[in-house]
Amino acid sequence: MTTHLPSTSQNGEEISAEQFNRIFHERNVIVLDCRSNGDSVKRANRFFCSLRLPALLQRRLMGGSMRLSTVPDLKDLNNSPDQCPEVLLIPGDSEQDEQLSAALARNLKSNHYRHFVLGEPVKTLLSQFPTLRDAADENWNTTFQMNSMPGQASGQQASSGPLLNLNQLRLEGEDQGGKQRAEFPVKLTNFLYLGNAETAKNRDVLKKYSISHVINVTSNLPNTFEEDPNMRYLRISADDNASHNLTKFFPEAISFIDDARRNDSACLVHCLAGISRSVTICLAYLMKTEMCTLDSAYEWVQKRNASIAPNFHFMGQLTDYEKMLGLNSNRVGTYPSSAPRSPSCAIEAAAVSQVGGLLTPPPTSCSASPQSSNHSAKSFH
Amino acid sequence: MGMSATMGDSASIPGVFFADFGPAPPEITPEGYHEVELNKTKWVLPQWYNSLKPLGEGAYGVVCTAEYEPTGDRVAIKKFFRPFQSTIHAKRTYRELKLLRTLQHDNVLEMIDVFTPDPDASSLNNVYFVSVLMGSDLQNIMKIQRLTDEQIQLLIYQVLRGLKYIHSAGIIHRDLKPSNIAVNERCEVKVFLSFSQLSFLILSFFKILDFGLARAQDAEMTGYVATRWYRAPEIMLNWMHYTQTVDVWSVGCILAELVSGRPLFPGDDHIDQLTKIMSVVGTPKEEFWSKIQSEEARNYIKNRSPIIRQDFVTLFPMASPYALELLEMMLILDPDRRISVSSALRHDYLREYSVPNDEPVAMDTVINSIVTIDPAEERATTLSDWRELIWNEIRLFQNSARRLSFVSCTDTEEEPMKI
Repeated sequence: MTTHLPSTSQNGEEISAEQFNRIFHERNVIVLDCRSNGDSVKRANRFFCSLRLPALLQRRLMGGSMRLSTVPDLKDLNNSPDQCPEVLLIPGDSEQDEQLSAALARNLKSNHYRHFVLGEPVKTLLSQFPTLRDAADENWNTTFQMNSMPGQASGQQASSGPLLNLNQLRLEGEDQGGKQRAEFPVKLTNFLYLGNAETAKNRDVLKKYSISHVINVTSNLPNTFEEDPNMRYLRISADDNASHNLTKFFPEAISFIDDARRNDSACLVHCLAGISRSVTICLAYLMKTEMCTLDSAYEWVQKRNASIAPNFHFMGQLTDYEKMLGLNSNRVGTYPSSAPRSPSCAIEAAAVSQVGGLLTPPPTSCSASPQSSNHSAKSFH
Repeated sequence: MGMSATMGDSASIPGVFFADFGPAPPEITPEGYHEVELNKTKWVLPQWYNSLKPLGEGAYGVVCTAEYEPTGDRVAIKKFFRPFQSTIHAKRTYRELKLLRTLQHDNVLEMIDVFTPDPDASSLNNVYFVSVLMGSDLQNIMKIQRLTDEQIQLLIYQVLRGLKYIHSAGIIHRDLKPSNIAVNERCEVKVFLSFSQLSFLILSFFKILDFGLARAQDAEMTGYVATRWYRAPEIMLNWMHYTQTVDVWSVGCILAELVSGRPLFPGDDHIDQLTKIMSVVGTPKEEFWSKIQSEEARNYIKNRSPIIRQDFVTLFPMASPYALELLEMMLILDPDRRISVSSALRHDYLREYSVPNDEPVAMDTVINSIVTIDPAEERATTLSDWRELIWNEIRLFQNSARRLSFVSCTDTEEEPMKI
């Protein structure tokens, strides 16, 4: 062990490449590399880059408003003197880098850290001691573990695996709920389909599912095939916000859907996205005709399409409708998705008993007014 | 042959049909460009982009990574799907390009290049955007490791610093989540304005009555689909007017997750989301109720039994006192009482990094560029008009000092200055 003289330099003790290599392997050290990202050293840095300070941190350090130990990678500088690692400083190779080096040195000095400054070019260091290149390269992929060097006595474990996952710039977010968005149209019963704007203008889809009735719950999307004598439309002009009352449309919508059922065809209920308005109408229909609670109806629809989300304004209206129907809600103090799942869901039981057939006709006749229905529905020619 | 190429392009997008409204792609690769086939998509790029690898595909474009040969940096390149399929698509492309050309802040992911292999405006049909490729995002980092409190401070500070700039430009992010926070190996952060989200921001801010597009985006943005774990409750309650503090709520959720190691409000659906929120922050006070416009929505939520706000000290035993204090002020149900971004930047939790005159806001020229509709844009009605406008935007950026500016990213200014 070579005896080192006490530091006589304002900026720490200058050391040779040989001394650098020895200290690196024998002692608990942190290496601070102050070189810039200029073209000439960009690739070289790949082989020896133990700490690259973000520009923001460089400015904070040079401004004197930040303690060096605050840098995430330099947390060990908070340790007590006998456990504190020593610092090997690689000075910068440009005027600005010199400023950073000086700022770091002042910071280290004012906090009484022992540090050394490499007095020879990095190229010399790497050519004389190629193992440093390999050692540093290993650390390139251990982001946030850059204070853990192979020679460190503590034998600290580097984190496992590189962090360079290239998932940035994904254009479609992953649904963290793990549920899959259903393809439209979504079949709710043998004669009732939930759809969006695309469904409503796809003639092949409408034909495939025997859809002759369409409820359009928008104010601005067209009734695409209303000239077709075999198609019937019911428009419910509503926007998806807190100023529309869908409740008043429930009776005629229910009557309209039942008309499709009685004619052995199907009804499509759609809005723009098939998420809020159209779902609200379907929920109301299921509650009314199957005499089930909002919880049960909601769960039934959600099982078939996870991406339903009637806004809370419509949920409030459905709750009021549930009360009007006199259904037993069991929902004091709970929300639909928080309620315990009933093993005897009405719709589920009905579905099981109707293998291949339609659901059982509702026990109560539809309360819709024939006059109202005729007024709203498009008539046959 | 041109028709065959067009059919091939259409066939590469399964289940989606695109009519070809524009001219056929160029048959000859222009000088200085080279052609690469990648996952059935043809890329025509300047020769300085090489080593392409696929990254992802979305509704409006496909993304790959590439190496910028002069420096070895990897970049992300987005190729638009048929930007001139309709005037709506063209308008979207134009505004996205204009916005990205305008925003400039080191904590906001920005465009560093834009190019087209097409020779002139009249034949413009291919547009590519380029941005720096950050190594990872916060979502992936949190999957792999727990971060120290110092690292968390540094990350949160940079997110808020980027938000301060975005908000000063009149933009609300609205969709902050870990996967929209890009992080590199030096712990540098860039807030990522997702491409589809940008279109919504542009449209909503310009207040153009573009119903078809605006409504489609609105359905995606108001809490219905995809990730809602970080979304402010007032968005889910369909408030008419959001404020910028919706983003502070998101930062609060992210900070809580960084501290505890698990999501704070992992709702199964939008109803469960609100349930989980209230189980932590408590049921609303009367002054909050009065701000919910819909009586039906108020009644629906009021059915729940009163809940007292949970003790954050118990909820986050690992958090430092300062972190807890900031969390308390961020996760307040009433957006009018929630801490602002500027105040959060000055909180003691971030005191090591807070330097107000190095937390830039958008210059007036940036704000004017975003809010003003220039006369040419107002007059644009045909695809040909939009081609001309987009061509001009591309040339403007290519001639600016910012093109490929990351090559020399050293900070040469002595004093921090307004960007």
